[in-house]
Amino acid sequence: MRTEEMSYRRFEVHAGQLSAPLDQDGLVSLRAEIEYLTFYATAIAKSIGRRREACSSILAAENQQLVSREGNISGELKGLLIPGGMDAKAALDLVARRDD
Amino acid sequence: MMEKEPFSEILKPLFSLGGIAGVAVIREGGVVFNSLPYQEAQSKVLMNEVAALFQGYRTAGRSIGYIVFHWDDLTLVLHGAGTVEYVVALHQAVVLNAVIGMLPGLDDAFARTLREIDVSKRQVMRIRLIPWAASLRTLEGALSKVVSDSQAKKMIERKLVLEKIDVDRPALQATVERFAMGVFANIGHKTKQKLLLSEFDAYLKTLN
Repeated sequence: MRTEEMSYRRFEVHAGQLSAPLDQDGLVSLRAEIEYLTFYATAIAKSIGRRREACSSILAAENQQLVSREGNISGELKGLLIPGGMDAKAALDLVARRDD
Repeated sequence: MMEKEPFSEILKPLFSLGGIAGVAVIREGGVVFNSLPYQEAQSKVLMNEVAALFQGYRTAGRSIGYIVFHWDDLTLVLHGAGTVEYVVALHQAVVLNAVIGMLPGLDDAFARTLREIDVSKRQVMRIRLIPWAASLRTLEGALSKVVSDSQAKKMIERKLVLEKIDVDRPALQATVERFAMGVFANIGHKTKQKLLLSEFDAYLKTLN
């Protein structure tokens, strides 16, 4: 399936407010997940002498669902919820398209 | 503990994909294979972080398939759903899907090989080497109960020469035991022989 044919949901956080087409429980879980992954992205980047801010994408797959985010952001979160069926490389490419 | 072989054989198909900067394989927090292009101290911290990341998911009762951290010139793939956890560093994200597709298939081979290594380690542990000095002192002490000290010393020295034993080289427990039996055989009295042998056996048991 081509990237263009996939449906995905964008989420963003500004000033602590998370907006995404999810219910409240979903938002809380999503935020916790991203914070958890971001914490380890920072630790892992540090361990190999890289800047976490330069880590452009974090992608996690579970139960055929991908959670992906743009990491090159300070003080806010952005990302995409991508349904199962899209492969990892396509998900990374999709996140890389900032104007999407 | 780190072992290149036979794990590098299992990982061969992965490396043949091309674009792989290095791979690390972790089991229960310990690194069993590491070819990542980082210094040992860096790799150690990285492995600890990866193990903690997966442990967090396990604690929450979740089995994460894979996690990818992407930089412009480096992609780290973490996979932790099987017997072992993998960290694969890629120069080229173009092989990302192939790597993700291949890792679960390597798990059986890793599980089997790690089982074999565990068994052989246990076997090695059973084969214990014993230093001669302490054994000869115990032997001499036991013999001195039935013959004079100088006689005991001579009996042992004669046997050492006869058997061409290098006392500076530790020996298998069975060799030491056989040597003691040979020395005790010089004691004419069967009951005394048995008593001395059981005393020496008791000493050998303290070594296990």
